[in-house]
Amino acid sequence: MASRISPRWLEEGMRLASDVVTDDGAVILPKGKELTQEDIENIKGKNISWVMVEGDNIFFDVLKKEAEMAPDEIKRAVEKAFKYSNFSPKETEQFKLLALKYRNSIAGKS
Amino acid sequence: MAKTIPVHIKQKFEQVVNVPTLPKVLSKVISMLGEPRVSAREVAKVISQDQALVSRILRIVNSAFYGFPRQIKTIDHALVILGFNRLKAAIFTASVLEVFKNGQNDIGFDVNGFWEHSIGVGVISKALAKHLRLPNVEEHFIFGLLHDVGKLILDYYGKEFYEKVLPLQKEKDVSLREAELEVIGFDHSIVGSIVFEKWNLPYDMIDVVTWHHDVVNYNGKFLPSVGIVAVADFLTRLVGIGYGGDMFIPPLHKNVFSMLNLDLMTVDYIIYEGLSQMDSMRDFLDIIRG
Ligand SMILES: [Fe+2]
Ligand SMILES: [Fe+2]
Repeated sequence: MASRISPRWLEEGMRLASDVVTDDGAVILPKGKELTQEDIENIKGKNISWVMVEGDNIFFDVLKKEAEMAPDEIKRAVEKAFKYSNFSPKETEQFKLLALKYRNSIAGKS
Repeated sequence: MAKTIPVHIKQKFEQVVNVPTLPKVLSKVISMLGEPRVSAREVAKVISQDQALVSRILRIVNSAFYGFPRQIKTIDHALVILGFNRLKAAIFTASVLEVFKNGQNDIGFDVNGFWEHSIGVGVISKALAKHLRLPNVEEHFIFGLLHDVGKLILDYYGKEFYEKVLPLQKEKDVSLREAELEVIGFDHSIVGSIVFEKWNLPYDMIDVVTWHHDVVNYNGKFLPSVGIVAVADFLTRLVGIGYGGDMFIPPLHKNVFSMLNLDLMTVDYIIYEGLSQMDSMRDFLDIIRG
């Protein structure tokens, strides 16, 4: 299984689960390549939104880090927003991570 | 799939809410669009009787909604370039929005927040439809944009209901829908349903409006679209875009996610995709309000 993550979270040694392609369709790195620091810099310089890397836990690890960055104010609002949730505690936790990640990034933009 | 709305609810609704009739040209156009054999030329001819409608449609056609690079100046031209089916969505939208130009009540309903929420649900619905490779991707933006139209109808034409509902929502800190159910005995999805049926809007649009809070009980033929809008509504509130009348995320049966084959990573991608459209779709808001 693979994880789709933003280039900012790439680390040396991660393995590409699909080709890295630019907006205009050029393949800059092939599937299966183990990333070097140079590759990562290359990707970050190309305005690429997503990279697929091997390992499905990486997505959750990154999501947790992104969620953790949200300030307490957003955390409180998210807790409250789930008053009507009918998901299992585990699913609720996962959705909360998404909520924190995006609310924080939207707050940062405005 | 029509929802059976008890007679006493319809009566109660009609006693209070004076549902506006659509302008003549609009209802003519809408009924023509529902006929299988109608030609684009005939429709264009009827539309051209109403210049305000023409200009509204052209503004939608030239907005980010279709993302068409060249300026389209006439309805005929729009028909040639976009085709009849793709233009239908713009015509329906223009028709529905015509009704909400004037007449908003000053009872504390956050209309800007409402439209921001609706655009959010629109862009995420569209991203979902695209991901699921449905044939009518653009229409899903409209489904999302209009899914909560019942709230707008209550704000504009059902003051007697909403002036009790809105304070109760605040006072009890519950969802707007819960406050609606407590005060009126039915919610905005029923209101939207009654009105859209009255206006003879297309069945897919009616079903989305009617069932978006009750997907698990829906087994009509527009299930993907109804499910998409319910999920988009959930996600828009999850990430906190706009204001749907309260700060809560609506309950949603988890089967809806599996039905649409959505895991968390896909959902993450869909939200990202949808949000990237948000800015460009805001010019749509200007058309609506404008
Ligand atoms: Fe709703
Ligand atoms: Fe909604």
